[in-house]
Amino acid sequence: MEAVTKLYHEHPRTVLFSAAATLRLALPLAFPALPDLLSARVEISTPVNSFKRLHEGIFLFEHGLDPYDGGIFHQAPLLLPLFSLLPASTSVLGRLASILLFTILDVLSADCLHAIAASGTATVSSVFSSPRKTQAWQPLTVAAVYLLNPFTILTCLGRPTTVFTTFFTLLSIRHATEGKLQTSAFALAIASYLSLHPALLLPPIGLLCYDQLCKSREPVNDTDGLKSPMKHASSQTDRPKVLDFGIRFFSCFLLTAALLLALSRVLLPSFAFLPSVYLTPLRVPDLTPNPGLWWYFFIEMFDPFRSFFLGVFWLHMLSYSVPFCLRMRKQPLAAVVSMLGITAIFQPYANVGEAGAWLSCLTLLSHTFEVSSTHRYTFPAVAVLLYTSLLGPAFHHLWLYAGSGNANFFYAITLVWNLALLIILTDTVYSVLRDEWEAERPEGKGKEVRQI
Amino acid sequence: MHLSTLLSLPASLALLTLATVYASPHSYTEHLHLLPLPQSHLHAHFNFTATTPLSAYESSHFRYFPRSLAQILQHTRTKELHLRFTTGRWDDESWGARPLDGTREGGTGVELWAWVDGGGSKTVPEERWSELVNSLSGLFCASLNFIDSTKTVRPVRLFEPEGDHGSEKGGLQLLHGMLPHEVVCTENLTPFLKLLPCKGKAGISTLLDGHKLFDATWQSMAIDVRPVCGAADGGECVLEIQQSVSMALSIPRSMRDRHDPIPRPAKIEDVQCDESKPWNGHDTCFPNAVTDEPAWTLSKVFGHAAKGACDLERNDQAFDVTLEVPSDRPVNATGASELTFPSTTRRHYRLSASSSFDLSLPACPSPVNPMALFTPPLYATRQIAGHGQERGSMHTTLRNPHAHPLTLVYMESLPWYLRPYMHTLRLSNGKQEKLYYTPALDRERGTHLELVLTIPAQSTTTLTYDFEKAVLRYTEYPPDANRGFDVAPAVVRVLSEHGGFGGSYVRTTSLLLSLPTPDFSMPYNVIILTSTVIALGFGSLFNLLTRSFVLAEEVPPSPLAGIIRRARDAVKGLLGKKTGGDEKESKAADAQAGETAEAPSLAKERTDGKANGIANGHADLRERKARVVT
Repeated sequence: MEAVTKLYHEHPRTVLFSAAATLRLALPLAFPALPDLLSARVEISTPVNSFKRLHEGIFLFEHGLDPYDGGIFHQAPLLLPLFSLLPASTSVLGRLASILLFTILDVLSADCLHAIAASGTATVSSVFSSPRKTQAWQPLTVAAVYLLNPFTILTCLGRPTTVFTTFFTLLSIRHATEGKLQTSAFALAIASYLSLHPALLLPPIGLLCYDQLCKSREPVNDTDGLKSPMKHASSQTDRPKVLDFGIRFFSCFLLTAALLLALSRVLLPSFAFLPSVYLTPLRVPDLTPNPGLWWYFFIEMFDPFRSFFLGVFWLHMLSYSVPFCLRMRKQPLAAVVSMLGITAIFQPYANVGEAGAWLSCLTLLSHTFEVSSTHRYTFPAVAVLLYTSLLGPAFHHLWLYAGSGNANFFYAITLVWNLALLIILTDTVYSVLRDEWEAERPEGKGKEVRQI
Repeated sequence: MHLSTLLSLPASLALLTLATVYASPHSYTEHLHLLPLPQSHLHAHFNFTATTPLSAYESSHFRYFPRSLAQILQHTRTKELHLRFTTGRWDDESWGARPLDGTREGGTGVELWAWVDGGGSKTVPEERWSELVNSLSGLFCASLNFIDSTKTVRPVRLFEPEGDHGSEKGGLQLLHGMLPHEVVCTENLTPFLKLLPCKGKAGISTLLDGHKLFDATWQSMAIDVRPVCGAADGGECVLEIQQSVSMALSIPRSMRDRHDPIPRPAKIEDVQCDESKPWNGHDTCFPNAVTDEPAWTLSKVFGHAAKGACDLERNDQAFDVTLEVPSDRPVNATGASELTFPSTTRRHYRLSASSSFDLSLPACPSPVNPMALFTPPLYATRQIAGHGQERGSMHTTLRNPHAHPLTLVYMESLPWYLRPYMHTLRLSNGKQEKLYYTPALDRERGTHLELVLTIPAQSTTTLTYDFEKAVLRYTEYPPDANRGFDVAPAVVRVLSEHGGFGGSYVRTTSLLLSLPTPDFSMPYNVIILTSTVIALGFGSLFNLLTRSFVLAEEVPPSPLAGIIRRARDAVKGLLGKKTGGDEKESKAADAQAGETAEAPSLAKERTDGKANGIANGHADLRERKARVVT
């Protein structure tokens, strides 16, 4: 026991990561049917990330057919050769191998989160330092929240390919916090290549990277969070040019994306994968239930208005990226996390995996939890999240298996789930902005405020 | 054993046809084959064959070939056509092999396949196919126009052209469509009869009555158009149309009185009890299965007798009706001359032109021995397994009853809303030689699965795969959405042993697939509720992003509050409490700003002076405070 304690004190990260990995590998060994059960859940697997559909794609690919000339497989082409290397998923070995791969991804994601939290970017940016920065959680806690989040664990066992997207998004954020322009854009391009919507993170991650570049060029001077205008002005001249940076970041992103698409074309007989992978989330032809807001809306939509509302929904999602960057320019990481939340909630094929990853990412902004828990509705929202995650599968069963409920049961639960996520998102944005405001007005702490 | 001669029917018919063809290129023959089946059933196969020389066809000159159909074929450049209307199920466990090896029957509903001249283009055959199904839809009063791109497949190995296409064969494209949901009924029979030269007014076609035909246990109407060329003598090619109706009627059911069609239990005196049962007693009876074939007459089974002959061009050896019963069974035929051939089981009749034809057979105590039935080439059944409306799996059981292995082509044409996972395809026994697979595209194309399999001798093979059920848009569901969706039957072609042309066909029954259904009553509610949630999120985020924070006590009073206060003051003043109110008000102002209420200019000066003393000032806020004070 003492040895374990000692080990924990000496290498806490290693202990945490190996414990999480062991948990992920022990669960399928204890319950062999669990991974396939989870892969089949609509909450985890959607038409654009399902593990079973991936295997169908691999089957067609290996038999020399174009896997995108069909309505089943809509995932990124480079996943095909990667998963072809694994042994067949029907065997015990194959199942374990795939779970091991996803466990490694999860651990790497947690490592990214650890690094992001350790960088302190959440509380200190080049132009701002939070008055609550001492309240931020330990990086290890942030990683632990990600690794031990039940949503993440279940997703890892369900093996949807969006876990890759999550990993590359977090990797991109990590490199952005380190001020590495090329690698950040590179990772973000991979994430966007895998599932399109991370492209919406381009402005906030670019801002974060730019901010870190500015920060690294400044001498470390401000410990109290207040800067003299003189110093500020002098550092202004040191800053890299915005336009220059933007062009470099964007071209890096575009180049990588183009390279990946070209690689995919080499792999496949035609360009059919482009509409299949990237138009499917845009046009939502497959209305399989998921925990998002789109599926039932577009089942019930009147045909003449279908394209109009598709446009509205996508414009709505697009509309957040730049305003977040403008409003939270002093805290770019908060803008990134909020945008992650927007994509997790409003994407057409939403799944609990991405929602869970986003909820874990919220701990990066842990210094503001005090604000949201005092002034906002975080407790009811979290309670609602718990209640929907229990009732969701139950109502899904009532609709499709027991026949004692209809589609409205599951729809109502997805609606409430999204409402709760939205409340948590607005609470986060509120507390981040309030924190920023309190840096200017320390006397406002704990008082009632109004927005005008 | 004597029944096995049924299988040689196509050959004899073909010989007959060819014999007449060379006498005159415009020819017409008709034939009815009757065969009692076990379990009091009667199989009747009507065949009407007309030909026209290809040259006459090209120049639109027709005698017996139906002009309406020919014009459609010419317009759509269809070289060979097969159309089937089928209802019911052929019970091959009790009745043995299917008539004509299953080559003249279709799957439940409507089945259509045709070889269309594609002109070397990719889109042209599809356009012509679309024209063909739409025209046939009008001609046969069937919903054939619903065979769109989602229901059309292009089988690779399943069918081979029956006709002689010569050098054209390379340019022909085969398209195949099935409508399992189609209910075949009288409105399809009438146009079918109208294609005949005698229009159902004379000859054996007068026996075809919708009430009896569609009341049959199984019936299949078929139209087959193909070009036939002479063998070695370089005879002229002709276009042949074979219209056939094959049916298995239950004799007791079709013998019911038309005015009293309700089945009633037999009188207790007529019921034979199974005395071997332990519970058999004076008041308990377990009825014996009726194995006897009842007495029947043609006019009672088909509703009326055949009226005369359709006497167009006939040679003296031609016969209209063949009855296949043991030679010792007495048969009484009226209105026809019996032709004798050296055959022990077949009796041939030739209808007389003027009188009506009837057959009557007495009850037969020893009916056909079921053991003598010709064994079907294959037994095939298909089911959907699993529960719930989310996913399921398809199970096809193929049983080879023979002592030699079978090679067969198995084809499924699945609707797009059934999403099969081919990586889960398993064959329990036997060998998968080849797989042709075209995956479905949502709302554009259905799945086409074709397998070449080898099944070992005397064994059963199970073919399974998993599938997922799609959720459709609410406008895509039919009005009876909870009934389910029909899935077309699987078609199995058992290849002949030497691997040459031909083979026999077996079709499974169609399946019912229940899809998850949304609530059809509330599109508005869903649009409103989802939009509300999105608007709530957007609104609160928009608020947070565009507004700035101020302390609650710094919020300027709204103009409306000022008006209310003034009104209240006025009321209080009228009541004579003016002084007290003023005092209270000034006290409240003191507490708020920490300063006494003075003239506005003075207050501003003082606050400005104070503000200068503070290092990092909030001048604007101070100004705002000052305004609050005033």
